Amino acid sequence: MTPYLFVGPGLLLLATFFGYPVLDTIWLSFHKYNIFNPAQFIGLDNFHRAFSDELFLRVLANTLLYAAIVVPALVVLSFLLALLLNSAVPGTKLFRTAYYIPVVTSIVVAGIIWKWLYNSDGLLNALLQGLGIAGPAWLADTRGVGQVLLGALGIQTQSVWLSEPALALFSVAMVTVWKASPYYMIIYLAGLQGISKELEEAARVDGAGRWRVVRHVIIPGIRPYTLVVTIIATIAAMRTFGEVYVMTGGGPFHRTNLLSYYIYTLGFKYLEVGYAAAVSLILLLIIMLFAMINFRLSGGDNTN
Amino acid sequence: MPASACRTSLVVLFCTLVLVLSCGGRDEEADGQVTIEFWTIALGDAFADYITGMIDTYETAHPNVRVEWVDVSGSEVAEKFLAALVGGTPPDLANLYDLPRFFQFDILANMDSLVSPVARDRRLSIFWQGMGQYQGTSYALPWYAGVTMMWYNRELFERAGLDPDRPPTTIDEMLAFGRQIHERTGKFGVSWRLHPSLVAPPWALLRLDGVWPLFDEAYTHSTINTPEAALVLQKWVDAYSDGVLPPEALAAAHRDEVNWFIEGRCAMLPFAGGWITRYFDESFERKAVPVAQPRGALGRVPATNQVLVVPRMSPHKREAVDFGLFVTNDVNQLEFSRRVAILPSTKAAIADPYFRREPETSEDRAHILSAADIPNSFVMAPPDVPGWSRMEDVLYEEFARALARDQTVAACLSRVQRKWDHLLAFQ
Repeated sequence: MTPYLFVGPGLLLLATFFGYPVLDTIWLSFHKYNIFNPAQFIGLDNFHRAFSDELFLRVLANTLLYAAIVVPALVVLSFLLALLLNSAVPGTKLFRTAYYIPVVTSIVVAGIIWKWLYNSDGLLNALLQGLGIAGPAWLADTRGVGQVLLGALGIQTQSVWLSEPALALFSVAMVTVWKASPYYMIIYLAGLQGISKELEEAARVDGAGRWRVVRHVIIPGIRPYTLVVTIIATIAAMRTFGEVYVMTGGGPFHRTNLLSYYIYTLGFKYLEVGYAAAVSLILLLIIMLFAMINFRLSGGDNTN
Repeated sequence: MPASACRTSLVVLFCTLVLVLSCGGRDEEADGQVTIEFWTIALGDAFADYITGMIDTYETAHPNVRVEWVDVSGSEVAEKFLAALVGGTPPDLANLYDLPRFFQFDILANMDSLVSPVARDRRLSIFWQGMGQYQGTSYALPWYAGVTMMWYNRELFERAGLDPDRPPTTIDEMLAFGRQIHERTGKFGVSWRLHPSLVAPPWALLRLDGVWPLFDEAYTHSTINTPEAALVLQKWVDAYSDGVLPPEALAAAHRDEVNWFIEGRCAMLPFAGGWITRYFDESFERKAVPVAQPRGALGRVPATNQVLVVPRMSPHKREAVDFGLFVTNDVNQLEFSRRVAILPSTKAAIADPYFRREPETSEDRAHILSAADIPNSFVMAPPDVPGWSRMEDVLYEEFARALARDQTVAACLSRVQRKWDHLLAFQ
């Protein structure tokens, strides 16, 4: 009896604040419900509607693109930062603390600062101007990143292959990368410190250079951590809300609109709570799918 | 079971009970005392003494009523109000934004039946019929108001070769001046953002130039797709292309347009309120000049007003309305207007000589200009059509595409009309 009493309060909280909302979301997704009128059962209509809703499909594509930018960038950048800060040079602790500041900075504050940097006459463009490059309107430019880069070289193209991701979406994604990479860096640092120094030394004795040590000792050694970072970063990227809310409001014309923001708009602005619940469930399924794929591809079931 | 585990369990049980019991709703107390919950928006820091003073005065005069004041941030008030409604514990009286999303659900008390004709007549009719009116019925008490005037940056006018003592008087002139400012200084002419705009959303741009209404009388069809509407929107599309508006106008967020003006990025800011001078530093205060809002073809200027609403499910509607009328009476609104550059919505308060005083600061000048333009104003209430929130977003999206030259204005209007008609058909 005692063990149950100990876990009881935790379970009660979990059931109240997680279990019940999840079940309620599932129930709502099969209903037409606007808060003020009784819910009306409509079967799978909300799900059918989602897949014929142009805006949902566009927002879903934006979200997948966003994750495709953010997750690899976070995995690589966090790992490189961790490698840099894992060396025993003077001031390492200070740098570790300093690099962590973006994580604890409110997204509202970070968003405002980045908007200043991104302004068409902001700091970023002033730096580009110094290099003789006319900078774009980072958060308002709906051209693809490829089109913008070629444009900077004087090549104008309307190619659809280069029209995604939009520069505005890419710019928002960079804020996420800046803000979140120190968090994942800490995870990698923990992993790096768990790698046996003897292994690295043995590799060096065998003639391996810095790069080969990284490639053949460190990267395999931190594989479980890469799996954790990839899964957490994917989930976080798919749920991004604050950056969009603060910086663009989903504009210009939905090019930076992501699923979480769309769900918020549906639920709180249009009061289409049933439809918002269905879209939330679709998002949940996508996140679960990605987590499973990551787990399988990284051999997560074989790691301890 | 060990004694310590037993004690822990009892403590947990006790805490759970306290939590559950404390979730109970407010109710009338046994001695007939009524407690009403009153929500304001972002008045907590600067105006706490004003609000608590009003509450104390009211409670002294009405010993059976106790007022619980809750101050809510502006960006989340609508969401909190919704959550409170769903939870069955709404405030009894609330200052609320974004009313169109609530109107069609019939959740707000009808003020036409709760407010006497005498009390109604004390309010300025444009504000009584303003933000709180939906399809001919008033669902809100008008509170403080703002009439749009314009701030401009003298220094940027001078740098652009414009006469700093001759600001624009029409919208067309404002856009022409903005063009010259961008060409000569690289700065932007007008601080305006598409969404959510404090200044003038796209439908208000149409109204300012006399393109109104946007629907037929029965709300069965949209009438937005006209040559007149195309001319107005084309004017703004050209202005955006020519750098009159900052490129970020397409994807800006809350208060950006105020920041752009204060940062010196934009030379002109049409804005309802002298209170933004609180964000000016000394050097900027010398550059920023308030003038009357340039006119469009309509010849009138936009105004907005804050409102107090009473949810239909409040058990204390009468008391809440009575307290709301007290908060919005002549004396209290005049006192509020003396503390900050806002305008009252009652006839006697706005007739006070205070609004014709000799200005000492630019805030005073803005205040007086706004007050003087009340007779020339119209309240910037959106069309009272069901489902307006979604329709408004359709207009934003299509107009943004036109601004970005992703489609023509003709295509924009055609798509808006088609989508609006589709939404109307499914109301």
